[in-house]
Amino acid sequence: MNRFLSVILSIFSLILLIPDFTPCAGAQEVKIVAHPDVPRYALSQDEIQQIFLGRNTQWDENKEKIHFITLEGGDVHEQFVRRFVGKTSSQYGNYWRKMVFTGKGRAPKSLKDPEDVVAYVANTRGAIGYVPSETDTKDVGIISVTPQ
Amino acid sequence: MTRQIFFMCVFIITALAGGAWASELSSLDLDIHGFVSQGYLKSEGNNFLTADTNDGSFQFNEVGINLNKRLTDSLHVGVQLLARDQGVIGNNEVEIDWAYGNYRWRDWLGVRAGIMRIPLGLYNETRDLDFLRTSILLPQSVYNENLRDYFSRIRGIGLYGDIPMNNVGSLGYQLMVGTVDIDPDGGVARSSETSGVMEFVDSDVGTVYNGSLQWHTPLDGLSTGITYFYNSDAEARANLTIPQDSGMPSGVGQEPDISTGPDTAGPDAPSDMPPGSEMPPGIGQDSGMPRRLGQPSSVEIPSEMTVIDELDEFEVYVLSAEYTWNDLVIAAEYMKMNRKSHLKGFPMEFELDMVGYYLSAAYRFTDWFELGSYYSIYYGDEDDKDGDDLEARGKPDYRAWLKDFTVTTRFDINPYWNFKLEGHLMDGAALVMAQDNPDGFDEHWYLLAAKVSFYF
Repeated sequence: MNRFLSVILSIFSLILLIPDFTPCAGAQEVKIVAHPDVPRYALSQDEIQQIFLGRNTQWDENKEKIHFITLEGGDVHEQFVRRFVGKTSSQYGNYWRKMVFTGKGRAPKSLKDPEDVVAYVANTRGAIGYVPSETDTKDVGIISVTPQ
Repeated sequence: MTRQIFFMCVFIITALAGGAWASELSSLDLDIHGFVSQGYLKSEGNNFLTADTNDGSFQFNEVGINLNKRLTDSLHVGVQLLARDQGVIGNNEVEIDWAYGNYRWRDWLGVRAGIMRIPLGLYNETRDLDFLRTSILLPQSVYNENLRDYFSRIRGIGLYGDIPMNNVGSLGYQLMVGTVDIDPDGGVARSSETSGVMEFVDSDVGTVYNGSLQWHTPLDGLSTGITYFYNSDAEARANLTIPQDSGMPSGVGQEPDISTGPDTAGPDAPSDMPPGSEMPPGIGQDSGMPRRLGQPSSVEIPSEMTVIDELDEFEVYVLSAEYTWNDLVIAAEYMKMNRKSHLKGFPMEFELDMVGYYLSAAYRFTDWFELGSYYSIYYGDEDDKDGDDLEARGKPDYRAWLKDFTVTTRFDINPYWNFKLEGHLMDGAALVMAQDNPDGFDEHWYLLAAKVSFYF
């Protein structure tokens, strides 16, 4: 057991000594947007996480289906999934591949341009997504993030 | 479907998918995804995973394709076909990996029916999908490849759901009941034949119960879980042939001591065959010497016969924890298997406890490079961890354990293609099959694995 512990401690010491090469996400702010008719404009971080992991699939009041949409990579996507989902974009991609390749879920719809995300959210009942803060969002609702 | 047609379909669809994350046939609301992996194994010491790894082996690949169709917002159906090769197992025969209907009534309650992957530990459901993890091989202490076909998939029905618990995180659960198909040419069958005196014929697994509970704790990135697998009415048939000069007792008035002692090994079987290999064709039987319960008694056993191993109880539980902190993922799991069985028609009962655990860490340095490591320990018999009992029976004590220190690297060439390279420093020879090592075993040995995967 002593040998086991020394091997484990060596591994973790090595890993923790390694500098973080992860490129820093840009300082862009993220806005969470939703279809104007969604029943709630305030969600906790946990609720946002559950939605974007596919564990919460229905708006609670009217049981309407939640349609969430993601951006295809980029700094805003990285920033959003790290902050609100608790995963890196790589981990988030692998999470959904796991769902897809075990038949438990379908990969989330993703779009490249923030304007397309806004258009999709505006035209899809129950939809929620995120965009850079400077994006024109007059046609959709803005979700505020509440304390836990 | 022939292997050739299946492979051709997968390659054509993979090529057509181009750079897309997925090929969605939007008019049909149908998703198609697939993967192709090709690996290479090279060892110094023991041959492993039923392949001739001492000489290097390319018999290590997986190919899969799946379709998923949304019928309504809450109802989906899907199927995945899989072909794999691992040494003498698989041989790229096409099989249904999963195929089920999935109705999610509420977030906290859904129903699935069909052929489903079995949750057992953190990674059993995705064990054939190595592009989802850092390492090529999962820690064998918990994800024993020799028993893979027993734990791969269940044919039956299941309930699942996610339950939010406000300030204490959320709970995900899966409950399944059904049956399991054992491949007569798979790892379970081969494990039971390792003594050289048994030939696996067939099996009937009966009813299997499987459950998984995963707690996503309020601490960001930390989730813990327990999974459970239970089977009580399985039986397996095998042809037993006792060589005349084997020293194995046979005939009227003698007890067939097929569970203990080096003298049970026939002349064609290595004297240090794996612990437990003298057992009948036990489902879920791998390394470890089953302990015979009760007192010996006189029975008649001919030199050739068909024996039936009846499983009285087989249960497995795995305790899991995974912590994700930015680009660092740490995981630890503990597995215990308990197996009780008897030989039909003979007054003999057997019991064996197998245990394994590991700790792993992986860190992603850049978009394209990830480094990981794990240390994994497996004991084929919890009551003989140091191998004293084996040694007393003339077998090497190091057949009692397998300790595996692994360092692995992953290179993501682009979002649909990766390459992995890893080295294993092994201590012990549990889980190493006698058939693959007719000249005996090495206590300290090495394994190198490389793999390239494409997926969309």
